[in-house]
Amino acid sequence: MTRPHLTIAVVWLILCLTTMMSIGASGGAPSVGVAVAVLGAAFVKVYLVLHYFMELDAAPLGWRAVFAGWTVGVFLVLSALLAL
Amino acid sequence: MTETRADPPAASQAPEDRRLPGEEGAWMFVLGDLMVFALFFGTYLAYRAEAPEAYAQSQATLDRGIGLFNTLALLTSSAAMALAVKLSRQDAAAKARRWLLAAIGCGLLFVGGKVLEYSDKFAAGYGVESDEFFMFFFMLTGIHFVHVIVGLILLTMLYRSLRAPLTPGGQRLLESGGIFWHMVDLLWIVLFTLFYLIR
Repeated sequence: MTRPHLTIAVVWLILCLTTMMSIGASGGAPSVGVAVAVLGAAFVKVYLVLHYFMELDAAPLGWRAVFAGWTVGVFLVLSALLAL
Repeated sequence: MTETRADPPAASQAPEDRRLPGEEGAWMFVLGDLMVFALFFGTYLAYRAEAPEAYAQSQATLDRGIGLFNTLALLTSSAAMALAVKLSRQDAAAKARRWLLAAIGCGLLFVGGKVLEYSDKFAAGYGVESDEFFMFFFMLTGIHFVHVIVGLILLTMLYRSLRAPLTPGGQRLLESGGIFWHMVDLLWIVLFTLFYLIR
């Protein structure tokens, strides 16, 4: 397997495992802490898709900053709404 | 800038070597769509905060199994698409086409899962007008579903036109299709989390 293919395979595995862990984590008693953690895991997955599948890691820095801003900004706003 | 079919450079490369895969217009569209969906996400959670028990009650009727199946289908589809793009740069058009077909196949699995889920819900009497939760659920996942269908049409057109050797224009088209499809996956990751996991 070539290196880029290995990277995609590893990222895919991490995405799937994180998904299963999130389902497990959200199965217990609901709490804001768990909700924010699960949301955080989702945005980690978003970052992985942006950087490794969409190849943002090799993109011009301006574009990287814009999408990093979206990822972090949306996570923070949604987390704040969860805490309401 | 010279046309290149090479993989984009590693992160440590000089700024002038960095490039966006696909057409810049595709990225502008993606950014716009992400902004709109960010508003949708925020609106959902803001309304949910006003009636958390009512939302939790309706949310409990969702089938997490189908949600998981759909998520894994789209994640796998996205990975297959990423592989297809990598292979298309290596003059391996036949292999790229196979992975593109796999991406389409997994996308169709998602469609099947969604159709099953929607029909179950409709049969049980749930719809957009049932309550606020279901209004958000059907509207947001419905709009996303339209993106999935458009994406699958795009991928199918790309599959049919993917021939060796790929021209630089053809390469950019394939990459642009990939960018749109990954966005569809990315949006579902958040939708799945908001509707199925966050209680």
